[in-house]
Amino acid sequence: MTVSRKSSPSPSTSSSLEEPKIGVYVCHCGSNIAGTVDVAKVAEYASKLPKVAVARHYMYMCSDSGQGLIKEDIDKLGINRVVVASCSPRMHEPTFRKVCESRGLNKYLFEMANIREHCSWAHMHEPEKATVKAMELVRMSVAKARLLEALPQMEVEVKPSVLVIGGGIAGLSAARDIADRGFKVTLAERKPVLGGNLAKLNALFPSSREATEVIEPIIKDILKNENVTVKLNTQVTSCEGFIGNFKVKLSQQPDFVNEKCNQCGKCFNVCPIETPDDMDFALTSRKAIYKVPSYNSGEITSRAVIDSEHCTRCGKCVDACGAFAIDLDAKPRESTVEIGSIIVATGFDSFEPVGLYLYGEHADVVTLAQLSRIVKEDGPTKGDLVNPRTGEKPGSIVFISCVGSREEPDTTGKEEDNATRTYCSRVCCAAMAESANTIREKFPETQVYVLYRDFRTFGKGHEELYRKSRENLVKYIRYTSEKPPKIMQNSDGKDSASRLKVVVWDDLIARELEINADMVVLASAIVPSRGTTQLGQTIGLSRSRDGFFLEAHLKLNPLSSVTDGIFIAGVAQGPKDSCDSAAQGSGAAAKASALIAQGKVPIESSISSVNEDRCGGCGVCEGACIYGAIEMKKLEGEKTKRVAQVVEAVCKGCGTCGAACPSGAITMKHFTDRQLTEMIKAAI
Amino acid sequence: MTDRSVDESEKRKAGFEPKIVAITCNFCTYAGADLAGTSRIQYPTNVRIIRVMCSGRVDPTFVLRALGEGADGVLVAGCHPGDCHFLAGNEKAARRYAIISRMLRQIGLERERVRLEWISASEGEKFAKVIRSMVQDLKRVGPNPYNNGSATGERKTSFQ
Repeated sequence: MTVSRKSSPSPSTSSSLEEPKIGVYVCHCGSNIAGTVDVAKVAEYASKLPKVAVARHYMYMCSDSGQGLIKEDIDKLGINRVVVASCSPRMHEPTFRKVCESRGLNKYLFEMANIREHCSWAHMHEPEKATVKAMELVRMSVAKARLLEALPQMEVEVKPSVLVIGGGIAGLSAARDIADRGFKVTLAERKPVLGGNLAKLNALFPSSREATEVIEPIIKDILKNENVTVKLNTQVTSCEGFIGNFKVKLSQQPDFVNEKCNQCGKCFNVCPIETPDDMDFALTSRKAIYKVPSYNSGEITSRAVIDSEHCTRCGKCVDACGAFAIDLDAKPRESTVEIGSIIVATGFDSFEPVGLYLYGEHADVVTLAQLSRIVKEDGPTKGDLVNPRTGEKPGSIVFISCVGSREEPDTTGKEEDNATRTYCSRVCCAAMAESANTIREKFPETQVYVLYRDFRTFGKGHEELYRKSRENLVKYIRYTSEKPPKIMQNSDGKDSASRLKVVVWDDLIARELEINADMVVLASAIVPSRGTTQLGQTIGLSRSRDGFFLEAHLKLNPLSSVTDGIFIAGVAQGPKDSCDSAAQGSGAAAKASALIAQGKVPIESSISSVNEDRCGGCGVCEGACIYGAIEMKKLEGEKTKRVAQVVEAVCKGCGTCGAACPSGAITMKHFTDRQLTEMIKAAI
Repeated sequence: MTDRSVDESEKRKAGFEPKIVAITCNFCTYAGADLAGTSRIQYPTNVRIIRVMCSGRVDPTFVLRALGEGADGVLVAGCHPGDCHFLAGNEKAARRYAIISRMLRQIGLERERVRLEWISASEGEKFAKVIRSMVQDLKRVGPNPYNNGSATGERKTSFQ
């Protein structure tokens, strides 16, 4: 992999030997900053700081006219260092760096003071103190600006391929779009089937099409496309590298059952292991050897697979197999892919609310996801409204919303990260309306009650569906979080009585209601899929407080992660329905494709640099660097002296070597010891 | 301590605003502080944040320098262990912090003055809590003894 220097700083416009002439620009940001901080006072204060040639304040520095101020001062006043005091550099540093470059000023001669997120917004009721703080923050940035150096622009080549992690609707959409664009894509799915959670579901609202009708065409497209390599039963074991040049190790569980399988089904009968069937959201069980769809040359048939996690290797299936198609000694296959970009589309799991509303204790309490399997025509009950655990047909069904979602935030301060789910799972209200309505239409003798806190049918066609469900006599009862419904076993003992009783305070009529229920359906939360934390640590992706992956910016950049070159799509980023997941998959594909299409991408030049004269050859830096980006090398002609040398292509600029060096021989470009100590002095 | 020196020490503590220098990593804590602002979470104005790419960049001498220049408290903050954007820079920061904090106590500086915290990009509220708690602690222990914590001399901070 090559790293090239696209340009070197030209001495005439941006030499560090020149006397610094600093321009300071204090932004009002409308009233976001100016509403608390006296920006005129800050600009005045700045104008008197050493080496500051001009200080201005302006309404919106990021606007065209604001940027124009900077450009004009560079041209006319010879400003050669720029400080903008405004929002976070994480917001507009690239914007203002481009402004500098447009006038021939090296982009590393620019510095930002954060007087919005770190000042005006956090100290709204202390305007005087906030103004003093802003002045000091500007003084700190000016102190650094006096010592800034022009740095050469570095670029790397981008590998023209993408890895998509996750084979649900978001991942499938992404893979298809990237392949259509002409780039190679590897699709890694942890399970032995594609389709994610969508493949398990019944009708999608409002079209009421089977979910499989939506998924199967995309799967077929992908299997036919030469640009796509599908790896099932595959997980990511390690990830190295950076934007344009990721090296990811994949581990594929062996199939155990090969193509000799004639699908006689004898193995299913003899397997002694039973485990909850993920396909039915744990409503039913399956064996450790079980049937899944098989994708061969674009056709979808079926095959047997073995769940390596639960299989005890007892060998009964091997004995029963007449075709000798099972090999329990097959080993996992490791592979490495080198790609330019990664899309994470790892989806969700349905939360099992054990301990809430008798879930787990009583067979008639199920989750909404499980109910959708019951009603599904090729589900465990072939679409008949019957509880597969009991064989009973419910005459009265009570739905309860927000189970495990929208919980009260923990105020004790003792809880572990993400233990409380304070978020709304977004999809359940419309899903309840859909299920409730379908049951009333198909099984009109069944009474249906929906106990809700708020009813959020926000999507296209959702409100109409809700209205239709009311016309079909679904009874909606509002409860509040202070008085949640109570569920108990009916102790009447009569044959005709329902087994469960739900007691709820109806908030709208201010009366307590008792409802006899044969089945209670809990609209339980959607949670990040199992393995999200693990994957996040392997790839280096942060998670938000709710446990889903953290996007770069919720509104302006929801598909990018903080790590350049890694994108997020679908429920991996946060609860949403399949329409939005598919859209995000396509969006992430567009971003990844745009990145790869450039062929080259700029990388930060703020890397480590060694002064060989000062280096004592101790080697502490080599030990400190986790990337192997700094090595001890013997100097030519020297018998014993060795010095540290930086491998520029690999150095990420973290600064650990710089902090470790006892001789002061290492300079971290753009974050030098001197720059940081001057900032510290200026802070006091 | 005589009655008079106790009085003066109390006088110095009363109404003094501690100055905290925070050196925070770009990917986690700096972003967490951004989130605190975006969420309009309010906290005291006493902190001045310096951005570095990784908490592993923090040379222990920066902490010494900050205290020597007169800071009442120094906060070094980065990503949670296991989550470092540069894989393990924060672990190096933790080791350096252990050495420097022991050394500082040996020369008589209170342990409240230097703090190491793990604050992620989504922990805006935690950032604010840490600042509030540090300001409270520092008000209790008083100004930096090297910056008018002693009986004589002007306290060297601007605007006070």
